[in-house]
Parts: sequence; structure tokens; C-alpha cells
Amino acid sequence: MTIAVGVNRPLVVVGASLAGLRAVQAARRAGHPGPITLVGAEPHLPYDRPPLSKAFLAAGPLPEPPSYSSAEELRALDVDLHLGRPATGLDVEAREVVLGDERLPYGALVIATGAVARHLPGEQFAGVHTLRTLDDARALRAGLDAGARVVVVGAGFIGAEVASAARARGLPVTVVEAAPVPLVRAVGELAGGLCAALHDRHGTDLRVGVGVARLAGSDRVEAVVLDDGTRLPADLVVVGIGATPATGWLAGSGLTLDDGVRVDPTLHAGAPGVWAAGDVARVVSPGGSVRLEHWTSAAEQGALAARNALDPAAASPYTAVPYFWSDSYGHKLQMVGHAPGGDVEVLGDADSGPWTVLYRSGDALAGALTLDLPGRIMKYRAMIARSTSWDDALAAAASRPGVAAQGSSSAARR
Amino acid sequence: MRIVLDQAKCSSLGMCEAVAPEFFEVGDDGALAVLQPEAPEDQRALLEDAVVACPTGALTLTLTE
Repeated sequence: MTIAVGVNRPLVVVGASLAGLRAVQAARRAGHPGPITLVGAEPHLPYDRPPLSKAFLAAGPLPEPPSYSSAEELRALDVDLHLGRPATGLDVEAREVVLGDERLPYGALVIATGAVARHLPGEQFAGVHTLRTLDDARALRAGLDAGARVVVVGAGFIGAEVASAARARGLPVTVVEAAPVPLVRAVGELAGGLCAALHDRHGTDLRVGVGVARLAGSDRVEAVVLDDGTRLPADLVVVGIGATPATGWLAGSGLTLDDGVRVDPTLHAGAPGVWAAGDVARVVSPGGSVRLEHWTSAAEQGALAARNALDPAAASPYTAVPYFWSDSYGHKLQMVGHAPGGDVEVLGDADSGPWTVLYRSGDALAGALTLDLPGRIMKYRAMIARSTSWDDALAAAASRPGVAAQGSSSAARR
Repeated sequence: MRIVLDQAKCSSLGMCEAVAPEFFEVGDDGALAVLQPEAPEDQRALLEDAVVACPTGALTLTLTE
């Protein structure tokens, strides 16, 4: 059933971060002449999140917000903007988004509400931060400016970047990671170990295989108490334990919610005229499902969802090879594809870098992770996209001057 | 049209290379090389995709006089 997107039934995009912005830009680029509404929970114009855990935390004057576009640019796109208005419900029968006591009818809807940082359970103290939004980043900056003994809970990419920013300011930092090796889901066990080594090399105290039992303090946090009884004095605690998709507002809507809005490969959410993109979207395919939290996937999916929403008969699937990057301690980590848990091959200098980890799935190259090799990573993305064989990928990798094989590891499985 | 790179904004993330490898390549030195700074007009759609794909907004396109 095709829903006509028209004057009284605009294209509505809920979520005014990267995926939502790309959706409205793509709609105009596709020549859509009709009304477009963009709704965002945060009061800010769409802004870029990656800098918030990197340059934004550096010592010095408070940086400008990393905005994508000015109000003028959005006006030039003729987008009806509702910022600081969290969506509270969705009526798929009436085809309306509920914003409190207001209802927005849609001809087509793109859900791009992203994800929310997870908090530690239990008592909440001042001096404990998560990092997702501009407001979070400003508060964290102020804490770092004050000087602090920093404890980071979670050695994921956000945790590592925050630890790096704190060390760059000369602050003492301890990172607590519950798993024996950080980043195992993202990069696998062997590569996780290589990434973990960066902390020690830059003076961060990394504690693995231990979780946080509770926080201690009065109004402000004073310590982080670990499962093994260790008490870590802390003035500033940054919790980087992941993000959950922002789907609370969709409860009761009839959409399938399963750690995200379940969508098919074209990003259609199963209700007429409803699509989803970015961190909120769990893309289901015959092989399984995946919810990506990458900048590139949010951008690509936002644009694709809008194009597909405007021309559903010609809807095309999301097929881009995943890509993300992370900057910490002056190093650039980049990953394409995924880590299936099988054979891996390490090339380069595993101690000080640069190094490459290649991931195998069956006879093909499934993923590649590089440290400080920005000139190589996109070549691997292209190989994955053309289903390059494992042997050809190894040959291509080994043929680079100065990139000697460290040795393969069939034993290094997750 | 001309491809304009703002070096100060470029972090060598390589999305431009991913979209349009005939026009962009991050070299072994880590620097982005714009392989054809003057591009034919029929490549505009592809190059606009590359501009949009850049996570740091380091690329713009101009009309060639």
C-alpha cells in the first residue's frame, strides 16, 4: 500500500541528529518538493557526535558546538523544524506522530531517534557522567577542567577516547572493564588485546575482568568500588557502557522492537510508510540482524530511508560495508566489515604499530582493522565489497612494503 | 567542476575514497590525494555523494568557469 506524501501528509523525520539530517537532505536532493518536518528531542540544531569524545574534550577554551548545519541552511532546505520536542508516541493507524498533546500527520515517516547512553544502576552522584549529547560533553569538559582523578567505566571506544582525553590533560586515569579483554564484540579477542595495550603505553591504568559493584560518595562521587572489593578514589567517573536504542516512545505502536526498531534490508519498519535509520535501526536479513552505531551507517541509512520512503516501489537495500574509526592517544583505529570470530591474521608491528588485523569468514575476507594505516583501510573495504577471497586479501596485504606478516592465528577465536 | 579540499578539516577518514576511488585516495603517508581536481560535469552526482560522505565536511565542489 502506497501512502501519498503530500501537502497535508508530509515526510516526517523524527530524530534530528545525523541520520535525520541526512534523511531530509536526501529527500530534497531527490527532488522531493513537498513539506518535510524534522523533529528532534534535543534543543540543539543537528550536531556531530564524534568530536564530543575527541577534540571537544581537549584542554583550552570551550569549543563551538560541532554543528552540521545552521538554522539558515535548514530553512534553505524548507524543512519545518521542531527542536526540543521529544516524540512521545506513534499511531500507525492514523499515521500520526505524537508529540505530547500535539499530533503530526505523516505521509511517510523516518524514525531516526538514535540511542541513549546507559547508566550504572543504583544511587546517582554528582561527578558521574555519560557521554552522548552536547550537554553531556560540556559537563564532562567542566569536570576535566577542574582537574580530577578519573575513573572510566567501560573500555569501549567512548571509554578509550575519554581516557585518552583525560591523559592528554595529565590527569590520572583508571579504566575498569568487566570483560577479560576490551572490545571483543567489535574487534575480537586478539585485536582487543592489541587495542588494550594502548592504555598501558600511555599511562592509563586498565583493570580488566572486574566490574563495578557500586559507587560511593555523599553528594559527589568519591570512589568506585569494584567487584573484588578494590576501592578506586575518584573525583570524576565517566560511564561508557554502551547505548540503548531510543524506542521507548514506540511502545504500543505495533512496530517490532528488539534492541531497536526491526527493519528489513530496505529499512522498512513493517508498518505502512514507516522506515527507520541509524543507531535505532536493527536491520534484519536472512543471515541475522545487526544494529550499527557507526557514523557512516547513520548517514547512509538516513539518506536511504528517505529515498525509499519517497519511492517505496523502487526501494533499495542497505548494503554498504560497515566502517568506523576511533582516535585515542594520538592513534587512529579504523575498521571495515566485521569480526566473525574465526581466523585472523596480524600484520605489521603488533607492539608499536602500525598494524593490521584481517578477519576471515569461510573463504573470504570479512573485516579489517588497522592502527595508523589510513592509506590502507579503504582498500580493504573495497576488497570486502567485491567478496575478495581470504588468500587474495592476504597476498594484497603482504605485498605492501614494510608490512611483514606477524603470523596468522587460527587459535585466536572469540 | 573543481574539487576543493579543506586540509584543516581532513582527518584522512577515507570515505571519499570509498565513494569515488578514481578521484580520491588516502596515501601511504596518510594524506588525502585528490586525483583529479578538475572533474567532468557528468561526475557531479558521484562527487556530491563523496562530499556528503565526508564525516568532517572537508570537501566542496565548485562550478568551473
